[in-house]
Amino acid sequence: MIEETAHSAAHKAAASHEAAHEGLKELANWITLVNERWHDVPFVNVLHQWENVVFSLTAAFFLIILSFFATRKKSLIPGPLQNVLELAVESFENLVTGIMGPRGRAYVPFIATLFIYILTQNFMGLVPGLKAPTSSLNTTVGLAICVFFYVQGIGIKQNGIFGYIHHLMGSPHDIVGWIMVPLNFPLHILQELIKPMSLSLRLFGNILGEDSLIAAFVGLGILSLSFIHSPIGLPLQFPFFLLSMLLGTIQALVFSLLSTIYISLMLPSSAHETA
Amino acid sequence: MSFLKIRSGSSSNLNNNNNLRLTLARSFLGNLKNDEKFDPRIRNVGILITIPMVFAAGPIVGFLIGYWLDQKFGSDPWGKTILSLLGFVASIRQVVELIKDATKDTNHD
Repeated sequence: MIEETAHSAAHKAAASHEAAHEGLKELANWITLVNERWHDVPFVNVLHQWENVVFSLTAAFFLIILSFFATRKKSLIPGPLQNVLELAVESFENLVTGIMGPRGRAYVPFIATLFIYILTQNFMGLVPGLKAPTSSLNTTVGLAICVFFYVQGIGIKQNGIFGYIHHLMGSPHDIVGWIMVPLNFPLHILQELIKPMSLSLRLFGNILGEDSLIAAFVGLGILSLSFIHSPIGLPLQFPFFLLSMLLGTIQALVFSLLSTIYISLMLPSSAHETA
Repeated sequence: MSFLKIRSGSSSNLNNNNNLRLTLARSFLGNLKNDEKFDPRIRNVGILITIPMVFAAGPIVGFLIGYWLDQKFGSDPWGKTILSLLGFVASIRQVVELIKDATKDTNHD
């Protein structure tokens, strides 16, 4: 009896739903709750199916509004919001120029946006009622595809179309190099495709892992007090919130760092260095 | 936003406070000054942390392309097999490139 109650309590309160991954549960968000209540409304169904897109857009709008308020009245002596954003942009300029030199300044807007956007999305998993959209492979693949096309575009722009193909052939300089082209060319293409795949898989795996861990401990916290029919549980998930904050930051940093490195590998002089 | 306005008022005390806060935040974020390079150790952690995923991604990409080619040309086991192996080789090359990139900077510093 107790077991049954405990089970149902954990099931209800954690209100976790299977997010297309068998056995892996995540905490309920507001769309899940709305969907539970008004299951028959078509709009709610659409919202439920597109919940990752909805939360991605939420993150984007949040950042747009934040940037709007921070840059609305720029002053020489910055206010707190402008101060924080200036610090973030400055730090990213240091990161990118530290890796690529002064020419990397042109790529700061893209990379800093990636970092801030991914960080916001990762942290959304910690806010009750929200969900980290990066725990879905679709979101991370979308981000990685953006990076892929951006990097290839830079490769074509900086090297020219023939220089780009020469780079894909492994930049052959001598006869042995040219003989190896039939092997090097497909390998290089595969290497270019590996980059977005590894970027997206790592981010998705880490964030989904964190979210599932938090959901599991929320369930455990509720189970631990279910024998007295408590409506709330022990906050056993709290240490994992801190872990999640740390790992969410690291993953966002690694994503943007690797994007920087992939861009730098595509630039003309780096291509000669690595060849 | 009146809070912002008050804070950005030009008393020198507030200015000093802001500067102090900025300096503290900078030192907290890891010695980031205008003319200083980003700490290469953080960069190397970023590079090296990706290696296991590159090893996994290579054969996956190869397999998916091989699967598509097999369906298109009816060459059932061969496309998957050869491209998975090629994907693995490509991932090794990618890892070598990443390690070169990570160690290059350490040698300079």
